Amino acid sequence: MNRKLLTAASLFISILSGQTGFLPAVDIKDLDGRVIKREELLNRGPVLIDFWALWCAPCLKAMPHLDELQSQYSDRGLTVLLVNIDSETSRSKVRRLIKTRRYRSKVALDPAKQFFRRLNGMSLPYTLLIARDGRITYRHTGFVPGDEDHLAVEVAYLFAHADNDSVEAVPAVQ
Amino acid sequence: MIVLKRFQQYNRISRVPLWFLVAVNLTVQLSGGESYISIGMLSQYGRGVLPSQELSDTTGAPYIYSEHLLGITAGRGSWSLWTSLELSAPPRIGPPLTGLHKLRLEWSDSRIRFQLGDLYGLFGRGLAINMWEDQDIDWDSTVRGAWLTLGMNKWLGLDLLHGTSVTARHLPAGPGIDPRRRDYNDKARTSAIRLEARYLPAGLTSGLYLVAVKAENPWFNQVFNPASSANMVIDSTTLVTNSYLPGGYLEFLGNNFDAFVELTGRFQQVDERDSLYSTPDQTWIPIDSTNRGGSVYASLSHYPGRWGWTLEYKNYLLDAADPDNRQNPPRRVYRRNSIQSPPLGFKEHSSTLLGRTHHNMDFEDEVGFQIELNWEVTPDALLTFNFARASRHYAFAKVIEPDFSSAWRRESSLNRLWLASNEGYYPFKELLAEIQYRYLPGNFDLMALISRQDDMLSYQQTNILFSGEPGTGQDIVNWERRKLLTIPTQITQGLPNGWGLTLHWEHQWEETEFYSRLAKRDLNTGLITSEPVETSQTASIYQRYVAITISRSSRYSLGFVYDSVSRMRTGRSVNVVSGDDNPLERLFRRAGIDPKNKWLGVQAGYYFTPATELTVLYGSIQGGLKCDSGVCIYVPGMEDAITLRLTSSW
Repeated sequence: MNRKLLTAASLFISILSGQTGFLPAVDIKDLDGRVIKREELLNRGPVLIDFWALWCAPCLKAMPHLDELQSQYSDRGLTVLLVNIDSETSRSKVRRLIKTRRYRSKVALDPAKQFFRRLNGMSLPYTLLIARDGRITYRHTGFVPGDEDHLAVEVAYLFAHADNDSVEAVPAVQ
Repeated sequence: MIVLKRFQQYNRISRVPLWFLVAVNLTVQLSGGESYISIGMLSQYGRGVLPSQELSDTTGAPYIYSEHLLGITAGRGSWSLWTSLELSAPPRIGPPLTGLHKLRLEWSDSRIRFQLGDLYGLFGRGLAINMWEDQDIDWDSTVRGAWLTLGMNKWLGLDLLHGTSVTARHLPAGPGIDPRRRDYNDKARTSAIRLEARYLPAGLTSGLYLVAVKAENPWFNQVFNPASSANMVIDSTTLVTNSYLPGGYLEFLGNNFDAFVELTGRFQQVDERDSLYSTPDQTWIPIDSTNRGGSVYASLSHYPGRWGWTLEYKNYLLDAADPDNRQNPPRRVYRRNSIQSPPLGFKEHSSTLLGRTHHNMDFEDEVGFQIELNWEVTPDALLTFNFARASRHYAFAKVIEPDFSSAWRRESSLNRLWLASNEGYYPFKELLAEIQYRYLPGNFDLMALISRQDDMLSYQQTNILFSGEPGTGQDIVNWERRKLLTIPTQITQGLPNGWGLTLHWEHQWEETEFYSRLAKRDLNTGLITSEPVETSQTASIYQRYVAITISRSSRYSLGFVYDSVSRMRTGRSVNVVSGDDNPLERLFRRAGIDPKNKWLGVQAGYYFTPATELTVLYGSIQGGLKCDSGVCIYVPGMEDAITLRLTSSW
């Protein structure tokens, strides 16, 4: 019993001591095989990460809306990162779809779902909005009509907030 | 070293005390500097009735599952710890587990990456090694061990991997098989080395690897015993095999063009031959002690503008076992290692009905191709066309001699590099067209697909070398061939104030041909001497799946699910007796709609936060195949069920 209490207490302290809602290290590759790092993403500004897969119909519906946000906020430093979690066996199909649809967003591959697990994604699509200082300000799972409006409000709010605050340097996690 | 040994003792991992995990976590968290922690949760519970598969049995057993997963990720600087705790008593599929489900500690910098624990990933396209997990189908080919990735310089990388894996396997659904229970485990110890060269400015990547696998797999034959209405295991033993898989791949990624090719060989040997030659029931089993095979996969894509295409070719030939052993997976000596998971080479569908009628791929023996074309007709409309064909390399005929002894005769296609269309080679083909259309100003989305599939489900050829007439034999051929026409459609309409309406309906027309042919053959000339007697019967099934959902963005949703078949494939019909109706079925019956062979459900979802959702379903769920990456298991249905599913990430 004492051991269980000790375990529960130490788990609780452990959770308190870490920063929840913070973007962890990023080490995924883009469609051309180049490694994308956390600093590279955040140095430009806020990041909108969306995990998706070819078989996920709601993901495909959400993507044009996310790409719309990329176009809208590109000048203000927003990076939309579409992270595909299909197996590497689907890489050609992912490249073809992205190039054919001419999305402006950055696309990365996480075939072993390591980054997805690091952010404890549970279902698709999984969308996270990250402020420039690395804080995760918004998380959302699934996609139904109207979600794109919520997301647009969150992005607008983040930029409005950032305009009022001084821009902090990006802390190095890795 | 002690830690490594602990990881390798797979069966003891769930006993790793929680305090050990917490201690590692605390060390990472409290050692100064910036740290992070992330938590995710999946919790599901279901209670209902498992319908009996026996025709005469109208009762059902209770079906209860309670499955909870808690994922915790913590990290600081270059360190990262990922854990998954499980409390399943029992889960939807598979055995109960309380304790640590997954654990991985990782350290990485710009040159080195070291992972210790449960490893996921693949070399090339996974012809030799592809470690992945899907809890929904109880598949786990992750290797528990250590993986070092070393960037030797800007161009060269080295991977070293070592560990063990235990992959649960389920026998195909059938009488006497409990689909929730694991039937056996394939155990393997894997060591791998890879050298990868990258020259990214030119888009070139190439790799060479060697994978060694020592497998300790159960080897048995499970047959249904009608007397006891249960399965009986015969010839049960453990088979130790050693495999060596050398291989390599080359990839080119251009601006609007990419190409990939991978070749893998497999040299496999039965390590303890005596175990095969002295089973309790037989003293001599005619199986070679060595086996050679190989796999090839290639893809070519071109996307010059608003359109693009991908051509894939696969040629997997690891083992050409005869039908007796092929139909009993645990009896197949030279089955693929669980960590081998190459590309399918045909479309894997997310449609509910097409998901239940998946092509039964033989990873050990299949050749085929797939071509897919995308065409963005307008910025709002995307058309996709896909055509896939596949077959096996070998056809088999059972030859029965005048003394009634029998043996399998193997016929190979003329060209091992290409597929065959003769029924004995299990030909498969699918042609589909899909449209995705969106009208942004009207907030309207349409996805519609039409698929035509033709798949050989079973084929038996018997050549009897005698008959009532001297010098004459008999040829008997039976096959079962399935043709499907499926049309899934989904319309989503956004409404004011965050409301939305989704209509999802699917139709499927299935025709299964049962063909039989009997002919007499002159044993001297080999020619057919009589007009073949042919019979052909066709069984038709129509299936319909409808789901209507009304939702309010990030708040709640309410849906209704209607799933029906015109005739059950196996087992008894459902909802025949009005006395057994649940309230939904009663409502249908009162409205004059017969709920026979229909599964009805209402589903409600509530978002506590945008990333925390609770879904509740009440009603009945039809059982069926569930597949991922070509691995399929039968997930049983539930009647009069209530299920809850909570997902959360924070």
